[in-house]
Amino acid sequence: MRRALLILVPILMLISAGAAVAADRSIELRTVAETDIKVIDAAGKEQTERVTATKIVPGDEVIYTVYFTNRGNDATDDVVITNPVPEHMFVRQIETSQRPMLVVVSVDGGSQYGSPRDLTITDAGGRTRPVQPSDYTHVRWTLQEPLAPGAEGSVSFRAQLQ
Amino acid sequence: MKRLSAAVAALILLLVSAPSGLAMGTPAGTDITSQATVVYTFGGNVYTLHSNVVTTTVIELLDVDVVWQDAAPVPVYPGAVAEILTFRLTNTGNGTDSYALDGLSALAGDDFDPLVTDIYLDSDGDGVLIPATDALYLPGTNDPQLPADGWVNIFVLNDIPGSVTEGQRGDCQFTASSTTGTGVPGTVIPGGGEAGLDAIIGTSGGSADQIGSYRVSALPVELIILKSAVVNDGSGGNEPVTGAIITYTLTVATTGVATALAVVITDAIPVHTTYNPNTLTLNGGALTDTVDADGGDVAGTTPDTVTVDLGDLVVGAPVQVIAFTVTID
Repeated sequence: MRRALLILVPILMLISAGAAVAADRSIELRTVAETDIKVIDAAGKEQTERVTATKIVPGDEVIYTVYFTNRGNDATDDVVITNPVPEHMFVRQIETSQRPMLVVVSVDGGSQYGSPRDLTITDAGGRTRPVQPSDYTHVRWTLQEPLAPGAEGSVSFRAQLQ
Repeated sequence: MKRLSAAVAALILLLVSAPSGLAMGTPAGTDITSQATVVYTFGGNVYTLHSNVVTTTVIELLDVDVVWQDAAPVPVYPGAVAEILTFRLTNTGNGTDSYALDGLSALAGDDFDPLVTDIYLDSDGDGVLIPATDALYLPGTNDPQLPADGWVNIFVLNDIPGSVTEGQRGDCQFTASSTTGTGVPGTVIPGGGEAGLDAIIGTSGGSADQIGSYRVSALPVELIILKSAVVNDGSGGNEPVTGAIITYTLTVATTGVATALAVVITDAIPVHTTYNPNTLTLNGGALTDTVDADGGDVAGTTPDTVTVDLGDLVVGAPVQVIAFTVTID
């Protein structure tokens, strides 16, 4: 009984410390994976419905969206969101964001970032070519303005399963 | 026990023949995970936080492809048996699947209907049917199982009716259907996939077929020519001396099951001999030595050569006998 109590105390301390961060100065980040499916509505018309992607097969497209919210009491600066492209997925396109963003990508596993226009790929034969969305390994968004308390937004890319 | 181990070996070879480096689709059962990171500045400090991890599971896509392998219609003769059409069955899905096979030869649009007798699996992967090592397909018993992107050659054997004629085409359709399920693309088969995953029917509908063809060839014909010589030395003997007469006899027979067209027999007059004019005969009847309507001549068509045009020799035509004499110089 004594032993159990001793262990419990430090855990509780850690939890309270984490909660304090979340309350005061945290950005909340939430990732969702969704896919568009075709459904027939009551009127018999085909509609596209976006649903959570739990099960997919090769060729399916998944929209990865990162929602961010400033849960703190003050504005945060220099917000940079990085989303690695999942293994087996190829980026089809980076969706436009509602907030002003600088978008850069990496094609080398996250070592270097740049505008897709400025990056090149050198193949095994030594030839250099422009990068394509399917080459992206990471996508990075930099907010061009401070994020006010309570403000929220999202960034996303559409990818296809190999 | 010996039979069992042979069957096991055949199965292993079947799996080994599948290429491994060509995986095109993400394997069924793969978990695709995604987690974003944010870095920001607050109160002069830089913070890094991670999002939740979102996981999406790749389920099994059922897809299959069949391609007829023979470059052209397989040539056959009337009444031929166990003629082989070769098809390649490929698992174009992303998980291991097995297939029911079927051959159908009662098709419209061709000239005759072959008769499907057997289907064999190319167990040893050499592309050649060897009944001793390749497995006879028994539906439901040895439905071929293929990993994603794996393939196996399939031999479909047909008998050819005896009534067909040269140039006619007979088709046979080979079909492979996923034993997990077939139907409308997009149909989900809960728990039907590899390792109990859900399976979903792909664009192939879980089934693929292709038609292979036979074409009836010109029939095999063979001429058998026998030549004999009898020497008469003029003094009751058969010594090949100067002045002796040699009677040459050629018999021409056909074998096979078709007409031998425009048969022309030529035979050179041997050196050191001289043809005896007006001795050429066909089936006992005289032929002139000049080129004319009787079809036979000596040295007319070709110098120093006997030529006899026999025309078409139909199946079962009587043996043709050509004879002539020469004198030894």
